[in-house]
Amino acid sequence: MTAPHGGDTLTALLDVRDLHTHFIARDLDNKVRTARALNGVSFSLAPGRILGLVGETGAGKSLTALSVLGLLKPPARIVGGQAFFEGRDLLALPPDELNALRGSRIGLVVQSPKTSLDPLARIGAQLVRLQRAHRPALSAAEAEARAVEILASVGIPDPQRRLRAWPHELSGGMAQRVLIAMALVNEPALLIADEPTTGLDVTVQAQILDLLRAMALARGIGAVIITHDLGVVAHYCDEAAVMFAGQVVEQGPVGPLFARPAHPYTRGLIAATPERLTLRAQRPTGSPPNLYALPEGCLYRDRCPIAEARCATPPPLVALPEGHVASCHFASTDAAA
Amino acid sequence: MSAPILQVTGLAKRFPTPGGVVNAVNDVSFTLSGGETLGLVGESGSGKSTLGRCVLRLVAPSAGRIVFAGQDITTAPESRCRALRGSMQMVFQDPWAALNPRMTARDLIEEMLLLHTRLSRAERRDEAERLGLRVRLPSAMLDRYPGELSGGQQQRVCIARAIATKPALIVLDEPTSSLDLSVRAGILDLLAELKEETGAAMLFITHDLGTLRLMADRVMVMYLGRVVEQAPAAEIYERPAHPYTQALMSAHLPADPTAKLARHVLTGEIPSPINLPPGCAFASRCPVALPNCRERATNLEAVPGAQATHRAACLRLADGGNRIPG
Amino acid sequence: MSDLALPGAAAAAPSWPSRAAARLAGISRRSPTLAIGAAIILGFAVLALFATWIAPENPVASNPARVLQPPGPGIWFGTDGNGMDVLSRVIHGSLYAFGIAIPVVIVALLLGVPVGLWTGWSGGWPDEIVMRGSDALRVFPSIILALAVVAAAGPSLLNVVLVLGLLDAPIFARVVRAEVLALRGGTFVEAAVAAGNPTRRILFRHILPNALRGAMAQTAVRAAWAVRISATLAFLGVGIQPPTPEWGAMIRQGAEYMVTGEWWVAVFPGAALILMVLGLNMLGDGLADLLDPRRKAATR
Repeated sequence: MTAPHGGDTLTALLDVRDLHTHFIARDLDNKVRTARALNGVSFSLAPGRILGLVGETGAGKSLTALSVLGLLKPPARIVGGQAFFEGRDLLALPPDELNALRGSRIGLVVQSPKTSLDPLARIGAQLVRLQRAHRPALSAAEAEARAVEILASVGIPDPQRRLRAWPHELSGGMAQRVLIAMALVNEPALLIADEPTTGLDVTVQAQILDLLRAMALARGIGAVIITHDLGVVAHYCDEAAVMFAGQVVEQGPVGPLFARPAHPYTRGLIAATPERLTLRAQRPTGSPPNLYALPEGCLYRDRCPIAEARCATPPPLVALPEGHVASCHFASTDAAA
Repeated sequence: MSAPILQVTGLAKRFPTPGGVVNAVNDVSFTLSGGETLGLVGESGSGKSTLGRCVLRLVAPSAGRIVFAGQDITTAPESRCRALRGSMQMVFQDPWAALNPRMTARDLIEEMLLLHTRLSRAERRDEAERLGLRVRLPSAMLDRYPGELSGGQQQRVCIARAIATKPALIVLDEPTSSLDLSVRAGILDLLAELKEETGAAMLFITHDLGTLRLMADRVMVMYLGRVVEQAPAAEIYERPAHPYTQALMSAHLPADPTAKLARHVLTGEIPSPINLPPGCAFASRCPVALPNCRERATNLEAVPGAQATHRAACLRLADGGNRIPG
Repeated sequence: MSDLALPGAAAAAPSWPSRAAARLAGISRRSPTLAIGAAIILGFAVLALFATWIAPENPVASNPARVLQPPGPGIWFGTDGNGMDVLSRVIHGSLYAFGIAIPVVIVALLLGVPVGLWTGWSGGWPDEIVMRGSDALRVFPSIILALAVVAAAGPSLLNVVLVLGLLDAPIFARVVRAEVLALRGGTFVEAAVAAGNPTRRILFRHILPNALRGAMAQTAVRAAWAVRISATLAFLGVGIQPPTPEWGAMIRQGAEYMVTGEWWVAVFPGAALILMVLGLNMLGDGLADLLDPRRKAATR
């Protein structure tokens, strides 16, 4: 998959094109071994839209976010691709410029709120510190006033008093609200949330997702929600990008994508959700492909129920109606049927 | 339905902590018959896992009575429990953590036969092979260590272990929660087959009502250590009576953007299980709570106009105000 | 069900020497410390095993005709006050160093591992008593304790080994206990209980194999300690006695000559001692890196 998804650098807020990230390390036998974790990830996000990046364990969802944000640690290495944000290629930026963008123009909400807050600083101090790191001219009083405002806006009761709270005094849901406040405090244009509700109780999950969506819409910012939960995508995202084996195999607005999934992997995934699942039915089985020895052509073909000989060649990126794209040899024929 | 394999009466488990006594399980009663699957639903802190472990005597109950296959095992010494473990088994949430990383899949499956049967070495080997095939693990996989198996394969090893001794009761503690969607489906297929084949009673613990719909004959909903509702599965999905059950169901997000959500978003989070209020534990978050809900204790009562086996613990059942408007 | 990705599973099989060489290169790349330490210890092991053939002379053959000769051709490390060849004595000394270090570590493991296993599993008062006891042992500088006990029991090789092994056992007990404590609450131990395993089997089949990693990583470092302490004992005159070619005893003899300028009698055994302790410590560090993934990540 070398062609970028229909995105356009001028209108897209974030346009990731053909991103390749590999894990390159020597094993105990001194042989260089390369795990091809991302194999050409392409997707684009328009301002004011929420994109759900969905896939199973090991599909490369979080790795995509880390690559784009320049947060990879060795032995992971970006070996190709571009990620345009506000017209600049994030992958080509020097580390200090990228650092200046993170936490200001790009906000990040991570999975485990409890471990992402500094346990040795009060909530207020962390919010003030974050603002002044990016705007040194801001006075402490101004930053604190803004902290109260943002805590109130994420639904934290009695924000003035909460400034004095320590992270360990917060419940899981409250900690996640504080993290969202931290991600938003510098008015970012892009918000990336990595599994923002995993580990929270289902009755709290809805509160957090409602908040995320409301905040993104109210500020007109673009958001990427990384999740393995198709329900979250269906109800809280405008667009979905489905990942498999380090590639986006299908992207489109959630309506058409859920109504007419064009990639067999997406179809299998939707069919496996509890409300669609029928037990003891025929279903694709098997493990994700070996990232050390990826096959040529379509990476899904070993598990694919409709694979044919031509699937041994790289699948084309097929444009379907309503801005819906899929990379499958059968995408267009299925859509016609 | 056959005679109950498990009878639990007034079961309670209290943990003393520095902050006070945690009432993890509070006055829980139920029965379970052979071939039946009881779904136990609740969020974290509801006490569902503790209840499952009490039933198997992995945790000693603080009060109540557990009768398993006609024997009172509430206070049975560990030596007697050990002898019974062949007939009551457990499958854990995280298969990676539940398997000894230094034993091969074959050793792990054979261990059950070694502990609970008199089979010879060769017979154990054959039986492990057969069990492996039953859970769809080819024999080449059996010589691998857990770290060399995928999550789904690991859970298949755990299931093979659990059925090896033909137990009368299997407690499944979130057996599919740590697995990916496509793997989860295969494990649920297997469990459904085994349910029919073995005739074992199953206690299926989960936080996911969607999964239970496929597996359970009856459902029991727990909140802060108490059962707030129990009913036949079909009935509870159709007409959830307790406001908490209604909220839990509405929190489920179907993978269908066109599905209308009956959104009863609850405010607040589950309160601490330390020093519970005297009344209904859900009253602090309940959208239809009345002032006296916080004071008056509730008991499971028949839901008016429903099947006799549909019971809920809500004061508002009487005036019909238990339904969350929306 | 398709095959799972297994690193190295599909590699072609070259002949074993080249595979072994590749593995060696791989390990030394990952941990140069380990490679250097292993090389040093391997060198000493060769010296110890083949001392009789490598050493040019009998290490305890005195020769009044060439007392305190400085290093020179034929006598590369010089001779000591008895006219014995220092090079031969240093080479034979490595045999004594291993002869003490290895049994000390074995004794310490044999005592410490079961105690750690038991206290970690049972907790409560046995744990309290044993751990406070080992704290008390550790409060004293081990050299003083060793000195006292060896002096009382008599300065034989066996006594030195037993005393040092006993003194070192608490270290292994602690490491194993900590691992057992972590494993005890873990799911696979709970699963072993739920399976109906008797306690003995849980301890030895399920917990022990998973709790030994930390102890194994400690062995080389503890061997270095044993070499150091036993040499110190010999230096102080309570360990192995001259003319046995033990490094500590040799340094003690040589110390008398330092002031008069015959430096070689003490310096060569001293250097050997330093090199061996360094080698063992590097080996230990490297092993810990390799065996303990958390440590490896932290040192990356």
